[in-house]
Amino acid sequence: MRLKDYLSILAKPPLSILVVVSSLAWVAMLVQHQHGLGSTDHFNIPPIDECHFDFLLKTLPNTKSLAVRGWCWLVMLLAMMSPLLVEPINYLWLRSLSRKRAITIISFLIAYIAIWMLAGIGLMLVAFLLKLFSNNHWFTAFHLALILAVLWQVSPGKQICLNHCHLTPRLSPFGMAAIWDCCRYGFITGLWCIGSCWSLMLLPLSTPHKHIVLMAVGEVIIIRERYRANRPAQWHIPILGQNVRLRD
Amino acid sequence: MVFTRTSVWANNGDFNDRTLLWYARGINILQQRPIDDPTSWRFIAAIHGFHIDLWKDLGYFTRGEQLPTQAIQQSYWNQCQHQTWYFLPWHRGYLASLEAILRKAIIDDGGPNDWAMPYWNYSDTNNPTARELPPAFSQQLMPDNTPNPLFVSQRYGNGSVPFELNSIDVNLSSVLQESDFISRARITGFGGPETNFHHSGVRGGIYGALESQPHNIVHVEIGGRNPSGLMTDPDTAALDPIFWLHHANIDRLWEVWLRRSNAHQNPTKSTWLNGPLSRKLVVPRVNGQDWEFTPQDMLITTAPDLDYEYDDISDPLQGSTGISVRFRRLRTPLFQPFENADDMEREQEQQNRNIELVGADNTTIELSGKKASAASAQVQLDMRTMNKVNRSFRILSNSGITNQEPDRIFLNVENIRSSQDGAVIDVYLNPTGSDNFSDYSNYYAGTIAFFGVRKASSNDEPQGGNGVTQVFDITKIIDELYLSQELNLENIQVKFVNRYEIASEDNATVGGISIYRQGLEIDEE
Repeated sequence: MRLKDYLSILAKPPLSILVVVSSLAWVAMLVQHQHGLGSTDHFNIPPIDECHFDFLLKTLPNTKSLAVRGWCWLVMLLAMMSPLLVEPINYLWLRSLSRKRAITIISFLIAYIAIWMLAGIGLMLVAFLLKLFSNNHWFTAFHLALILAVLWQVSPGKQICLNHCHLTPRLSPFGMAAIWDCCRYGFITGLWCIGSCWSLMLLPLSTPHKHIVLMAVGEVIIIRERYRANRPAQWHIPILGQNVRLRD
Repeated sequence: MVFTRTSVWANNGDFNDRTLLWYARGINILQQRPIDDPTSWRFIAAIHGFHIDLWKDLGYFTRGEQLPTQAIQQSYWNQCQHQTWYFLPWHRGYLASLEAILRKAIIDDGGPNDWAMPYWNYSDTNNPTARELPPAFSQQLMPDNTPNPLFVSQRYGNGSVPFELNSIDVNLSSVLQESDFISRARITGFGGPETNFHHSGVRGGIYGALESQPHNIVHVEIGGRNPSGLMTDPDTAALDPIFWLHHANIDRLWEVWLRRSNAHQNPTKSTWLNGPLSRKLVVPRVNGQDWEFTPQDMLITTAPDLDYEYDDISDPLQGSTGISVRFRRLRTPLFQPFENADDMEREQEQQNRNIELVGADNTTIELSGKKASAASAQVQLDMRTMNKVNRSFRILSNSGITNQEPDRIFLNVENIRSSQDGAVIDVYLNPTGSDNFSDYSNYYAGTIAFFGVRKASSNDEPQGGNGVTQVFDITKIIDELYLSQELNLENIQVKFVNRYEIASEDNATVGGISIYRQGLEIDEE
């Protein structure tokens, strides 16, 4: 019965459409992975023995590698973030004039994806710096990223970002203001989303191995926490499914 | 055995009524129990909502008292369901739990073994005192000169004694004529919007019609403000004994609504019947053990775990429906009533499919001000969509169509936020734009009562941060404008008139206003 209930929720648009988009992106990622686009190649983070700034500076402006990096990052975003957009898309649909629904949703998505693409550059740089800091040992770099992720996951900052992901701004229905408001909504939602998810997205970037598995685990965590009710912004340590508050 | 819930006014509402006398004695017994006892008064009140600082300030929790374990608090406390389709079934189970625990305490103390929770029918127009707080709740002492457990000092009403509700606030004509249980996006429904577990606040959701009025307004008009009374805030409301009689009446009105038309049906979706998915609904049994329930268990009041019925579930509107009232208002002879409930349902499905924005205003409206002060906002309307609204009225002049009603129109007051509950604001449309109250007082849209607004305004609260959104069905006003040939509006002013003073430090605001049409899909011209 419960499974049937969950499936009935999944079947409701826009979630059904977003799940299809996410699934297709996951398939694309798996296909890319099968064709040798592993995590280091995926985002063109230099291998351990080439890991220095000179190499990075030479590689970054390369148009082809930028395009590959951008494409891989975009596919990963579509896979991981699409299921999180139900609330904003519902809100935009209802809060726009019927003839403007498509353009307002597209405006939102463009801004949301744009800010995440910029965040991708930042996260790749952080992954690169972690490797530098670890004397090019990916194992150490990954564990540093893991410590960062665990610390961020239980911190008040994480909860503040999560709580703000659900805020709905005022939207003008008329003229260019309607487009601009939706762009701003996408931009701000994207920022809070980055604040909430950056540490889980950093993990697969900091290891050449098992990054698909890490992404899948990250996806489960991200979806679960996004659809959970808001909580006070304080330290939370999940133990056996319960949250123990470090302070009241 | 099926127990019968009777009116609090059945025997003048005082302690000559044994039901009220034993209600007071039963509460006294439960109040003696420690807060970590699941059958204690305070534990049960905290199931509705618990806020440690508020409880300390009001004297209901003392530092050093043993609280239940964190796990028990997480299972039981802060569970009340508002702005959701679980509002009615959750409160039914909650009420049944306290009723059973109280009955056991009353019987153990030598009281009647058929005791049942009374209800407060403040909407009874046949009883001139129905809207007054029953005297058993307002006297400080019991007949034996011991303190009266039904009296609470933190119940302020509107300041004058005896507390009396306004007739407009408890008028049922609009809510009982709601045809659908589920509040669809941006339009009203009887029971509330489809959500998951939903304690406090709102994520783009709305109040159900019954929850909005009379539920919310009775809470804040009895609890009062400056300072907030117990009934005014969901985290303290269930500590006040009148809370339970109020909710017994809300529960009774659910039965009244269901019985008054075959078209009035509970949701049939599994996500409602077996919901919520994310958390169990749980209340204590008389022995303190868990009773987990779903809305499915709440459908029949005479079922074994509920065991009650009401002495009066007659229809105060004598069968009139919203659509028949509307066609009379529009003075059209064309309407022919639906032959059966299925036809009505099909019609609703057809109309529910198309809900669209007509216009909006996006300025923040500050609500602070003295009693009777008015804030206003100008809502710009989209002419192409208004044209659809106008065209929907042409149905009335086409002799071939008999049962298709013109568009229904809804006013959404969005993102209402405040750091305090208790404000009451009357909302009017003002098509003339006049500042003279008498010019727009006929265009009354409804009343916003701040119950749960504090929690919904805080980012830290579950589902909090966006404030609450109140939806008013303003079809009647639009019909009046149509009849007076004033429907060609480019914008319309909305007036917010404070019933009481709102302090500036409450930061009471409205985040935006929007207007929606619900009707058949019509192509733009």
